[in-house]
Amino acid sequence: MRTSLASKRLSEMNTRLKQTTFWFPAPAFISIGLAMILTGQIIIHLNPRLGSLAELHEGFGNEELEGAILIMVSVLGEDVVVTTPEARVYRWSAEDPESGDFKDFKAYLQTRSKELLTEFSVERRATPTRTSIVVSADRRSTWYHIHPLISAFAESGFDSYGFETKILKDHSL
Amino acid sequence: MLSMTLQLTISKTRKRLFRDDWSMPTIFLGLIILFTISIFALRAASLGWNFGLVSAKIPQLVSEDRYEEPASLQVAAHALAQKSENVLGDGTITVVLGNDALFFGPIEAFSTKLGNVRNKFKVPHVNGSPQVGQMLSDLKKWSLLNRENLPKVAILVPFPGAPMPIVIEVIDRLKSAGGFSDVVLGSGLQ
Repeated sequence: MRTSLASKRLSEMNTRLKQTTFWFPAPAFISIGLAMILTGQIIIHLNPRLGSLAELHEGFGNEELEGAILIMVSVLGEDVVVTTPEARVYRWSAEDPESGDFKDFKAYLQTRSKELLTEFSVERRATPTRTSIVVSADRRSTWYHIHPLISAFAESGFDSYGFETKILKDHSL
Repeated sequence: MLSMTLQLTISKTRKRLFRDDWSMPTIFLGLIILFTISIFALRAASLGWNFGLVSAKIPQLVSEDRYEEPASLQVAAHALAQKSENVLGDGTITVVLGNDALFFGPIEAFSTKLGNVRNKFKVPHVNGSPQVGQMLSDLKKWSLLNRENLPKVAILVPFPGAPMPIVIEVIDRLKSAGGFSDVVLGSGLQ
């Protein structure tokens, strides 16, 4: 009796395993899908504001600088933290910018400036907006934190910059 | 009566059509495409905000060395400098965003003629809020009295502790309500 029941179960399992099943790879798809969505959130080109702690001022800015260099500035304690779209982070003391990564930040701007010149010469076309800088400044920052950046822009040959704001959708508010 | 060859061909075709070798790769490819679209959709949904820009300007200096360049460039650069309305000069309006008031006047009022108390004007803040509208109104009255056209560029010098939202708002108001096409930010105020 036990033998016949066991052979029946074995036969059933044999039949089941021979059938095509679609549920088996589903967990793999779920994990792959979640990984892809997570990747989408952290891919730099999809999310240029990655890693920035800056909370923007809500205003009515209406100009757009397509292709401009985005520089995100936030304040952590006494330090100024700058994040670039390439996810590079520069940090220096607000009291003494030269003591931290400020020199590296200036070197980064000069490198970007040279890269732009090379791109323009290769493309044989210059786009003014691409030589502009968009400063995404944290609402807690003050002019004391920001003005060294403007000097760095000027030293690197950039003459146009702007401050990014969140546009309020309802202007009557 | 079908021939043996035809029956064999039909049998082979049936077998081929019943094979599901491509079903899994197709499902996998479809899911990848679906996830790719989902990634962009999720990014679009999570960004949520429209971003604007309040722009400012860094002045460009034309040095005397420029005159050593070829004649055509000399002429072009000089003509551009003469015609441009965005050239900084003694009459350029300077707005100082102080701790408790806004000050405005020509640039000389804050540089070579700093000691003169009659060439600069003060608009006190109300509850800590800069009265940019009042200042622009006073500025227009002042320009009418002096029979001078307001230049297209203004210099804004915030005090070091000025919060950036206020600085951004003042730049925005100067450009939108004040009619200035460019605003140059200055520093060094003690």
